[in-house]
Amino acid sequence: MSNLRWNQGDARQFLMMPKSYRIAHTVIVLLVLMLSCIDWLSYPTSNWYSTAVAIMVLICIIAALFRPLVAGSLLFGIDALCAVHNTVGGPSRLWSTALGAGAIASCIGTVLSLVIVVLVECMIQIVQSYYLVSSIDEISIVGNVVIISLVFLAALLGLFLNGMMRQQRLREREYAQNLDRQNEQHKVELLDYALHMHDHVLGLLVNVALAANRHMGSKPSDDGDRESASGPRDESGDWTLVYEQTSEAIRDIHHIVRHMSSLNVDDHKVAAITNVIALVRSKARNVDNRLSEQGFHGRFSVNDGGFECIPMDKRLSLLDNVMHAVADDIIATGERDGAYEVSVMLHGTTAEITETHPMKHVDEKGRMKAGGASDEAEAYAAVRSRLARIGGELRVCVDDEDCRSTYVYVPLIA
Amino acid sequence: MMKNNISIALLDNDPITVAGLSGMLLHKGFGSLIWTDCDAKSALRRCFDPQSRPTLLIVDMSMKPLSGTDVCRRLRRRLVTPSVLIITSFDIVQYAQEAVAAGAQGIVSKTDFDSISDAIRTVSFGGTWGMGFETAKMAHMRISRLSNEYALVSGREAEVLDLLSQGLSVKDLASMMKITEASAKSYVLRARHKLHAATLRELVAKWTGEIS
Repeated sequence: MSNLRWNQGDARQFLMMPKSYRIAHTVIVLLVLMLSCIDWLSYPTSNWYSTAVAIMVLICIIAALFRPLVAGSLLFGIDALCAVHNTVGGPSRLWSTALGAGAIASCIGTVLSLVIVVLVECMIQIVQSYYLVSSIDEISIVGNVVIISLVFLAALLGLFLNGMMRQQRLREREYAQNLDRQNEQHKVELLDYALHMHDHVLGLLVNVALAANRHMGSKPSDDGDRESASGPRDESGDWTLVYEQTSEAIRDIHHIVRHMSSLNVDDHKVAAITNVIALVRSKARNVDNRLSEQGFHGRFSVNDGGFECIPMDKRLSLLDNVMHAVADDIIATGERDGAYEVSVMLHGTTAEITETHPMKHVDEKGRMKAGGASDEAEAYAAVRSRLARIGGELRVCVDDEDCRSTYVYVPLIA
Repeated sequence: MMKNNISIALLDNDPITVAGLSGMLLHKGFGSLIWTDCDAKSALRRCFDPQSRPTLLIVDMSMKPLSGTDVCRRLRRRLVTPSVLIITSFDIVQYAQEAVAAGAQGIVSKTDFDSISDAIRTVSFGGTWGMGFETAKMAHMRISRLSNEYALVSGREAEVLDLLSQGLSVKDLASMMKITEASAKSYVLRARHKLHAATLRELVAKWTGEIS
C-alpha cells in the first residue's frame, strides 16, 4: 500500500478535500455519533468497562472527522475487543464499525481494502459467536449476515467516495495545468506582440535616423540662405541632434528586445551547446593543423548558423572522422599552391561540411576519376557508408575551373 | 571611392528606407545602384535574369511574405552571385545566425552608416562581413547541396520557366516567345524531367525556390 494512500488519513487531507465531500463526511460522522448517543441513552451502561468502551467509541467516531484511517482502525479494534469481552449497555457498535469500514475504504481506496475490511468483520463475528454464544444453535446467522452486509455497504460507500474524490482531484489538477498552460501561452503571446510593436517602432525610428543622416551633411538650401540672412540657423546641428537621439532610442529598443528574447532561454542548454561548438572548433583546428603540416594552406571555419542540439557522442565522433576524411581528400587530390576552403556549418540538429580546393592535375581522365569512385574511394570510403546508414549524404564534384568540391550532410541526433 | 563596375541592387519593403539607403549609396559613390525593389519576388526574378543580376544585393531582413533570409536562401539554391548583404533595423546579434544559415555574406545594422560602407565594400569584393559568414561560393555549394540540376536547364527552358513563374499560361508564353505551343510544352516537359518535378506547379515552385 502506498504511502500516498495512507497519508490520506491525515487531518490536512480532510481540509484539502473538496467542500462537498467534507460536508458529506461530516454529516455521516454526526449521524453515526447521534445514533450511538441515542443507543447509549436507550441502554445505559451497567459497569465501568462498558462505560469506558462507550466513551472510547464516541471519541473514535469524532476522531474519524480528522483522522479517518486511524479512527476506523481503532473502531475495528474496539469491535474485536468486544467480540472477546462484550459490554453491557452503551452504544451499539454496528454504527461505529460501519463508519470504521467506510473510513478505511475511503482512505485506502482499493478493492483489496474493502475485501480485507469485510473479512476482518467476518472474523470478528465468528470469534464473537465462539466466545459469547453458549451453543451453535444460538448463533444468529441472519444477524451476522446483516451486520457483515452493512459493513460491506459502508466500505463500498467509502470506496465510491474515494473514487469520486480522486476524479475530482484529477479534474482540479487538469484545470490547474490548463490554467498554467493558458497563462504561459498568454505570456508568450504578449511577448510576441510586444516584440512586434518594438519592431514596428524600430522601423520608424530607423527611417527617422536615415532621414536625419541624409540632412546632417547637406548644405543649406536657398530658403536656408535667406533665413541665414535674417538670422543664422544651423539646421545640420538640429539634424545631428535628431540622429543622435534616434540612434540612442534604437539602442534602447535593442536592449529591451534582447532582454525579452532571453526570457525564455534555457541557460544550461545554451551553455551545453556552446561547449559542443567549442569542441567542434577544436577538432577542426586539429584537422587544419594537419593540413598545414602537409604544406597546404587555406581557410577552415566552423560556423554557427543557429545550432540547437546536444549531439550524440557517436555522431560527434563521425563528424570528426568526416573532417579528417575531407583533409585526406585535400591531401590526396589538392594542389599545394592553391588554397582550400572548408566550412563546417552547425545548424539546427545537423552539420553541413562544404569544401573546395584546386585539383593537383586535371585532365579528362582525372576529371572522370574525380567525379567517380576511385579518388574519393580512398578518402571517403570509410565514412560514406556510415553516413548513408544515418540518413547523411556525401557528394563530390569537379567544376569547370578544376576545383574539386565536397558536400557532406551529417545529422547529429537520431 | 569604389570602382563603378560593382553593380548594387537594393531590396526593402519600406520605400522610405529604400529612398534613404539609395541616397546614402549615391552620396558615398558606391558602385552603381542598378535597381531598387520593394517586392521580394520581383527582386528574385531580376536576380535570376543575367541581364539585371547585380554583383551585390542588399536586402532587408524583415519583409513579408518573404523575409530577407528567404530571399537569400532561394537565391543561393540556384546562384553563386550576387553576394548578399543583409541589413536590419534590429539587433544584429539576434539575427546573425539566421543570416549565416541562409547563405548571406554579412549582416549590418541600418543605422550603423560607417559599417554599411565598409560592409558593402568588403562583400562586393567577395569577402564576408561578420563572424561565421561563408563566401557566396561556399554558401551556394551548401544550400544547393552540390546539386547541378538548375545548371542543366537550357537558356530557352529557363526563359519558359521564368515566364511560367510570372503567372503566364503555356499558350501566352508561347506567343510571347514567338514559338508554337507544342514547342513551349516540349520545353516545359524537358525542364520537368531535369528538375524532377511531378507537376507544373511543382516545377514552378522549384524554379522560384519555394521548394527544394
